[in-house]
Amino acid sequence: MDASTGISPPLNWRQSDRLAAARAALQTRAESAPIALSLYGVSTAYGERAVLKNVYCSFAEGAITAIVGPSGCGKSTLLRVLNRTLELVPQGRVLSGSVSFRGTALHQAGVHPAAIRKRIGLIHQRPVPFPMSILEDVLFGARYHGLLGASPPLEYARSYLEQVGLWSEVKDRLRDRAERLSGGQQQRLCLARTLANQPEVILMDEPCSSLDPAATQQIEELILSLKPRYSIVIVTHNLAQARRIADRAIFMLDGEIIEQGPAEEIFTSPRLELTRDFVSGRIG
Amino acid sequence: MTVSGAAGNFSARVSSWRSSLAVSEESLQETVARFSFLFLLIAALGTLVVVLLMVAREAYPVLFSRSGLWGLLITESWEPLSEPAQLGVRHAWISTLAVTTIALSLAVPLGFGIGIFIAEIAPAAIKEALQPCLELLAGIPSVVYGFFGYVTLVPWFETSFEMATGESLLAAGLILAVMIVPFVASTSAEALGAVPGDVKEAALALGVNRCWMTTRVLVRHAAPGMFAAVALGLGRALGETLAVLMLAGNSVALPASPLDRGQPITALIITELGEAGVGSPKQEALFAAALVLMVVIVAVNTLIGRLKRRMLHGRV
Amino acid sequence: MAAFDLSLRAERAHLWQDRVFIAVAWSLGLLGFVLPVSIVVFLFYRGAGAISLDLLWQSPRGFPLGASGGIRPAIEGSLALVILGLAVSLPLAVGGAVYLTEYSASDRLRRAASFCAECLAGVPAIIYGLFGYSFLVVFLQMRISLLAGGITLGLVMLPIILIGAYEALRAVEEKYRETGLALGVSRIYVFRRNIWPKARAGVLAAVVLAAGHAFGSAAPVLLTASVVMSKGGLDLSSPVMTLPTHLYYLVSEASSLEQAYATALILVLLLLAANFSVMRSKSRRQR
Repeated sequence: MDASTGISPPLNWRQSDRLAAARAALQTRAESAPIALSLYGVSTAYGERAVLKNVYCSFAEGAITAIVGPSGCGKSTLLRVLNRTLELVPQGRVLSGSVSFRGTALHQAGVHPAAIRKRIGLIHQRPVPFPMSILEDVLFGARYHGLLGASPPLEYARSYLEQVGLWSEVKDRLRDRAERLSGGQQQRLCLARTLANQPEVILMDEPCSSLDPAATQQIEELILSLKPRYSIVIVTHNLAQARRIADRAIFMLDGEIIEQGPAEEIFTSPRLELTRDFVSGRIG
Repeated sequence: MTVSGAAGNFSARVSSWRSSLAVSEESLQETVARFSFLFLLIAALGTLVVVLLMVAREAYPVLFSRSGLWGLLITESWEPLSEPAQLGVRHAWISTLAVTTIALSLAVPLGFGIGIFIAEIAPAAIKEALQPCLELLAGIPSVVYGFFGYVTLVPWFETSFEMATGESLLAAGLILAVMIVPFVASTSAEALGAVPGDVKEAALALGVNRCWMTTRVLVRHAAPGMFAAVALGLGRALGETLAVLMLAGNSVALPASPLDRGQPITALIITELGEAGVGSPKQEALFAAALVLMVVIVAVNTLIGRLKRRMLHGRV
Repeated sequence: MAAFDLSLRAERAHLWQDRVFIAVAWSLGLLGFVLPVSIVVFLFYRGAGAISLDLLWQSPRGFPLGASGGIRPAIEGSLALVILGLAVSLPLAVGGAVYLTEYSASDRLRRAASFCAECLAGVPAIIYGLFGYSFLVVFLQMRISLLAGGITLGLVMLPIILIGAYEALRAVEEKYRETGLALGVSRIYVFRRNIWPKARAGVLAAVVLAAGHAFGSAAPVLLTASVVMSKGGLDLSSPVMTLPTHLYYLVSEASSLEQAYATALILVLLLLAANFSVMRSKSRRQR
């Protein structure tokens, strides 16, 4: 199976087999990948409450990195620091440290947050359809950034809707309100919308946590299909999911990075006992 | 059936009657209190309903008059002294429409702009200072607004546009706009503030600027509340009396331009009612005009209620 | 670094669009501040000079009437009307609200009553004036009088107080009622000891706002109670002068402009004071 073209495998394959095959095909590339994003000593706070404490970590180019940890450990905050949406939350502040994207520091003067957010997209936990038609929703960011160019809007939207597997389901009702779609469809729409923005990195904050298993499976396959073209950082509280799709993993606890490395290592033979406890389900 | 059996039956029925009124185990004092308050509620709402019915009662003969409702509203002009008396109010509702349109076309953009400012852009301290200012604006009585327009706008119109008198539909409309701005502004600010944060965040996460996010996502999401704001302004403008009475000019001719004098329905009523004989056709016509106005306003207010409920309970 | 600089024309355009957008919003916000302040300042500037103890204490004199002298009967008339109106509307409105929150078991009744009251609050005051004219003045033969005007103003205030009192009572959490009743006391006792002290300030605020609204309203009064000049002394069966109608007459009869400014200023200041006290009490309650 070739994960990057999204050809769906025969129906009698088990989900885990499919995903394992997809990963194996791309595994070797992930190890020697260059770095897309890195954090140096980043500390953040909401108002007075410290959340991230002196975080050092990196995210490889073209790979899927999973951030795991118990709830409240700061995973979502870490994500939001990466595309500077932390500052949109009232009272969210970066206290110290720096974030760099391919060598450029993100929090310096002269760098506009909107420019960053175009290149580093974010999928939220609960899908957020906009109050407009499905077509308008997909094209929302693309129109703004002038990405449509000469191509007709329908064609542009179609390519991304096809990529997320939504085209056949919505092609006859593109003028319907986006809010009318089911949960799984809405999340795929959000992904299409982000992809239509032509980002380079995609951040995902527990994208499947509000979806049923069938929709979850679809999203996971989608994520794998994105891999070589985009760098993906996915926050998940579902260890099995992380095992299924991640190349690299970061384990966090209480706002600190405990361990990070290749996914194989973190999930089967972690170096620290704390990590081992979490991964085996004894804590968390 | 024995006497005790009958008595038992009776008390069973009384207690089931009492429980159907949710009165269960209550002392006499409680029951008295309950029914007194219920009486007051019925008196309160009943009185108000009686008010509306009485106005309707005075008005309905118009339906059976020579010209009927059609004549009242469309074909006849207001010439009570001619033979036969013409008692049409078309000049009045056209004036009301004109004044309201002028007022809304100014107050809605201004009110929306202030609403967006309050909800999205103003820092907390400015918001705290602005709310009382808007309440102040809403609290100035209609007659003072009329007076203010009379001493500022009317002379200015007379000099700038070289009119015989500055009293005009435009002057009334301008002052009316100022009167309804606070209602439009605070309702739209409320509607915009009710939009959940993750919608705004999701839009900004795509890298768009605040203008794009506000106009294309925020306002659209708050659309029911924004419509409610417009409807609120409309309802107020339709019912305004003193300001338009003092500024619109009180002319019974059909107005042809905003600079003409006119006579909105409310002004017509105040001006003519005193001279209308009790029970005369003139009085009936005035009440009928008032009734039409009231029906429209109640319809608008019902719409507002529906829209506000949709706003609070989220979108479909 | 080149990757993020804003040399792309589209990005620059968006930045400017944002700046213009924010600038326009600020200027509109400023307008929202300037409008009320400038109206009050204007009235103050033109009217303060004419206010004197004489003005407040004497009756109108001169020709045409009102050109000199004072506005005392107007102040008295306004107060009398509002007090009479409150006497009519307060028990009905507060009593009705108490029933809705304390006794009514039916949610449908509450919603229907609420809807009714809101519709009626939206009915313009002139409609109540028409009712007052046809029913009170003519049918009941009260004539143009303080009594007719007072009852009419009471009707104007009724839905406003009803809604305000209902909201204030509703704001008191259910737990106070539940725990009180669980101790086996009667509802009226719980109400008097637990609920009313908490809701009192909110109800009072609604009453003050309604009274202020009625104090400044001229349309219903013109139809039921007012007259250009009264001989002073309040009598239920005689017409009265009120501040807003006096202002209207001064303008429509083109009498003293100076007195008009003074009357307008006094009216605005009194209402400002009422609104201010309501806002103060609201913020104190929220703290």
